[in-house]
Amino acid sequence: MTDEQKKRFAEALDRVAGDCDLLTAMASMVAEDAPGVLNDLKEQVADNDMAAVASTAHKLKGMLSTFETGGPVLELEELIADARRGNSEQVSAALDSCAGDIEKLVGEITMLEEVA
Amino acid sequence: MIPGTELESTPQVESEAKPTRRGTSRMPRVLIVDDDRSIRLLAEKALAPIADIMTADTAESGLKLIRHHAFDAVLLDIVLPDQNGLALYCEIREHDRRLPVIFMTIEATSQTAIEAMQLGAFDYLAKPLSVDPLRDLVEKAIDQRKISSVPVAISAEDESIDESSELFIGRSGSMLDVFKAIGRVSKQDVPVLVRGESGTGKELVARALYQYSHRSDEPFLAVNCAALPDNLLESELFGHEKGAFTGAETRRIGKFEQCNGGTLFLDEIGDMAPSVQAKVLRVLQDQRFERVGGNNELKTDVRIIAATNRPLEQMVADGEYREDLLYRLNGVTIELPPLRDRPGDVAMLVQHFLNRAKRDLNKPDLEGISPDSLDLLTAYDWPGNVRQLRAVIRRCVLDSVMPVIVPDVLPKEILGAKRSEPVEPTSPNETNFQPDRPGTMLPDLVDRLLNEKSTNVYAEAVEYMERYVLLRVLRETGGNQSQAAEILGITRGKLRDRIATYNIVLESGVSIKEPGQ
Repeated sequence: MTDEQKKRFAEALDRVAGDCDLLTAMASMVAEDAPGVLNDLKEQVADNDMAAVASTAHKLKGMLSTFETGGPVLELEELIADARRGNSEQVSAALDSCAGDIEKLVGEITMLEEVA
Repeated sequence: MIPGTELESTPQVESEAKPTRRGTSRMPRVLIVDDDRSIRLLAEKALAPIADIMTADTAESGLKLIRHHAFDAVLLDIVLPDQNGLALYCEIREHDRRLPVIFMTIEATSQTAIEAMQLGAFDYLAKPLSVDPLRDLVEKAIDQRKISSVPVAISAEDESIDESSELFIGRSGSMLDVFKAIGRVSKQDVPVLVRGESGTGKELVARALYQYSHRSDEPFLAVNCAALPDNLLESELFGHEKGAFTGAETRRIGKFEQCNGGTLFLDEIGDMAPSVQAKVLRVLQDQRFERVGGNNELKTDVRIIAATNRPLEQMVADGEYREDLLYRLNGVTIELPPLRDRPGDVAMLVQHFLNRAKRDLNKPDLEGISPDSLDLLTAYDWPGNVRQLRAVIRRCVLDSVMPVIVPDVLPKEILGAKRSEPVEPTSPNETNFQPDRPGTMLPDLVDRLLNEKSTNVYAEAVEYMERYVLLRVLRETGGNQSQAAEILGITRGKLRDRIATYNIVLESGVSIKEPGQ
């Protein structure tokens, strides 16, 4: 990990007791899995399957929260709440709003693996 | 794949437990059930130093593992792809009611986690997980598993009853009285107060009372009242509502609610603040309480077993302890004798601990202990009681290269008991606490104790550190005990107790006279 990455993911590093190898290994898994989960989420939103949306968004939130607890993770929380209430319009808007941030975060996580 | 199980249809059961041996005793085994492989990896790495790990990514595969293997704790994600975590928890409980289950949830306010706690789950952790708190909590769960599941066998005979049991040994009159009392009151649904010095086995009595009771299939939870500051203890016992105090971000279920139907062991019951004493009294009187910050009266059905080595009657006289609580607690009292008062039991205990250490430490060639070594052990006064004797025997077994344990491998303090040779003072209070360099002698103290083959390193090092901290904070407050207790995060009663223990003298409320000054 570069010094910049250590600074960017300082909280995550702290949670794994400073173990860069562990964080990188986790990043490798999330980098591989998260894009597929995000695609599933987009399809489920398009299909208006709110139960599946809530479940998939929950899974994505869990994956990403290891690395970042604010930003897109908080937006996913709102999206999950809307999906559980069956507010498909709000869900669709929320996904449009946070998809870019999620992709950016996944990109940063992927870089952790690539630098290692 | 796990040999002997049918997991072909659930290929995500990733790791087979590799039994790691410490001596010949089994490492604790923990199951992690989560569909996120990065979380499984984190938990595996975090827990590898303390347990063998098996993992599953679905409820179905997790349940199969539980049915085919003995686990000491389970980490369970609350949302799984094939089943709700709570439903899986109910199936785990059906299979093994005493297996501690820790839920993991990304939603800190998860109603499911709270419901699980009310049903008796051990605890829950909010994601993202952090290595240190995760490890601490799982260690607590493993301890909980041990204290509620490892049988306590009572023996007045020379031979062990069951190798997997923890034996409660003794044939002296005072120990036979203890055994009789356990038999007499275990099935009565009354509170019991267990009294005795540190290391005499108060927790073993509590576990025996539980295991022989009608509640043996229900939870057994233990809380050390001295280990938590007053406000945290109140929350630990009674739970709290969201927003009850700064930091109470979610509702928390307390032990009295979690342990409904079961037995709650309150260790160090003398170290409770008056506000907590009042709430415990109310539970004892009519089994009712409120969560901290809550208005709803909750009802529980919990049997309380309490333990202390503090002089509760004197504390009542000094106004530090509620008289009505004392009388509620000590309807039945079991008094454990110190080991020095039952020297006739030492040989039997030595034999038992030798057999156990021989097996645990893989020393099959060890034959026993020499008569003169046994004489020395019998003559010693054992301030740390049975716990200290067990530690000494294990240390001797580790150090001995001969088939028989001879006096040479015994710790110095035990050799001094009979030979009456001048023994160097070993108390950190006497030799190592240097007022001009307070707190700086800890490494030297530990080195010396290791050289002396002491089996009391932890206690002596902690005593040294504790005395330094007390003196430092008391100086900071100009001798004001209330302020000092608040800063230290302990009760005033506990602070007074420690001041007396360490002979700290407060003069005119300001200066602190240290021993030797």
